[in-house]
Amino acid sequence: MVVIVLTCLTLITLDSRNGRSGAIGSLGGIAHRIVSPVQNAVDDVASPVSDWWDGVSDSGNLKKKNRDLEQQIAALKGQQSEAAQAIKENSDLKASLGLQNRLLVKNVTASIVGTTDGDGNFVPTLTIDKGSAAGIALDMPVIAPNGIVGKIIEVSKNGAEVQVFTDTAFSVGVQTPARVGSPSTTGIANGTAGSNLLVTGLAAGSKLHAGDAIVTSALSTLFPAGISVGTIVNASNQPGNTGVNATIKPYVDLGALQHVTVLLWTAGTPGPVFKAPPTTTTTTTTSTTTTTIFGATIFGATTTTTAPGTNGGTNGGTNGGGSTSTTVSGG
Amino acid sequence: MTRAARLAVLVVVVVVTQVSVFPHLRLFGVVPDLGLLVALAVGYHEGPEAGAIVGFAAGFGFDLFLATPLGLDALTYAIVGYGIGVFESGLFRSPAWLPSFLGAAGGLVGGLLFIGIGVLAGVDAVKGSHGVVVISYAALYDAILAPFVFSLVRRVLGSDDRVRDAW
Repeated sequence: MVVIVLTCLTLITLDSRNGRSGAIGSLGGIAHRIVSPVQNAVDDVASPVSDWWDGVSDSGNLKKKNRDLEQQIAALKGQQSEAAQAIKENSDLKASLGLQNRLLVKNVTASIVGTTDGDGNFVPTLTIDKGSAAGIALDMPVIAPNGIVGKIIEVSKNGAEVQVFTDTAFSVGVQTPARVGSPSTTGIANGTAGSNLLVTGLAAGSKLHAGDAIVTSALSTLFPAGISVGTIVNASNQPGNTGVNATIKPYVDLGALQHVTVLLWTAGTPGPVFKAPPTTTTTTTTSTTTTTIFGATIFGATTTTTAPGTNGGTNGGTNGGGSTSTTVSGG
Repeated sequence: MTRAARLAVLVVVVVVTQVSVFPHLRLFGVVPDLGLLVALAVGYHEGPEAGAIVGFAAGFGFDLFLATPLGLDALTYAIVGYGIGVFESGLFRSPAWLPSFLGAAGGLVGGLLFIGIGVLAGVDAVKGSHGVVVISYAALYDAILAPFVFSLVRRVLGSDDRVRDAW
């Protein structure tokens, strides 16, 4: 035993001092060369068994790792969702700020804090976080940067309920764009409980085209004139050539709204609502194929080519979205 | 074939099995010390000197494949093999659980010796609480395999007056 101990101590000392070099290293190399074929063969055969065994013997650890990874994934998904939400909110707020900068009337930007089904008809109303304390009153118009949203129907000190344009009880006076040979005509846009609005009462013979921008009319007692509503999807003559009805697609996507602007405006408030945009000239060449049905010219394949310039975007009396005017000044 | 030759073959087979098969059969991330179990079994059946010699041979063979200093396992296995031979001489009876107990105790003692000598030899990898956890799991694995190894060693050694029936 003494010999063995001394031998081992000598080996340990030599190995610690010199490493695996010389005879000791050679011995190790030979041993590896002899055994490596066996190791390789066992590796080939045992790998599936080894994987299975690892799963069995380490299942607790694997389950824990799996749980940890699932938690990490959930946390990352949450962060990703929060980031996307923050980006959208940032974008919305920028748009709201842009709208505020263009408004001449007093207004309040409010966050949407909830939606409810109005009167059980599955048409949602919006609940906002500003109320009478911020100057909001009944019937005040509610808009988003790209168009109308609805009107205030309930107010409390620090909150308000907004009737949205999809509500069948909602209606607003609108007007069509004027063009050569066909003056602007007005009608009433009503909610349909669907995503579109139905405009009724447009004058017979109105020239309407798909994509025409519809804005609120000066006759409206609910909204100031010139606020974007949507674009015409289709139109039809009424029996007896008594008028034209049109379906319009609103600019505002209610489902995507996070903030709205309440205009502290009531009917009869004098003066314009929007600042006049910088004057730029945009030359637009349009070729349109139209069809005349019982006096009303509706539809057509509209091809629009716009020369470099600026599009006024939202509001201000005219709006983007496929206008067919030959010359548009401003936006 | 003489007993010594059979033991030599057993040692070679054990070393090859240890470095080829058991890396695929880790339990809680550790491998058992087959060489230590053989040293225990031989020490138990054949006495301290035989246990020390077989332990040295098995440990040395295993050392050739490890990054730890050559001779570290050899010394550990030899001491444990010798110790079990001394311990065996004081036993009056051999209960059925004795191999498992010896496997666990031998695994723990061998592991602690390995760490102790390793620290003295400057092996940093064995320091810390992780080493104790590893030898605890390895001792448990040794306890599971010990009955089979003791039985195998008894068969390799053949019937002999000194061979105890541990079952």
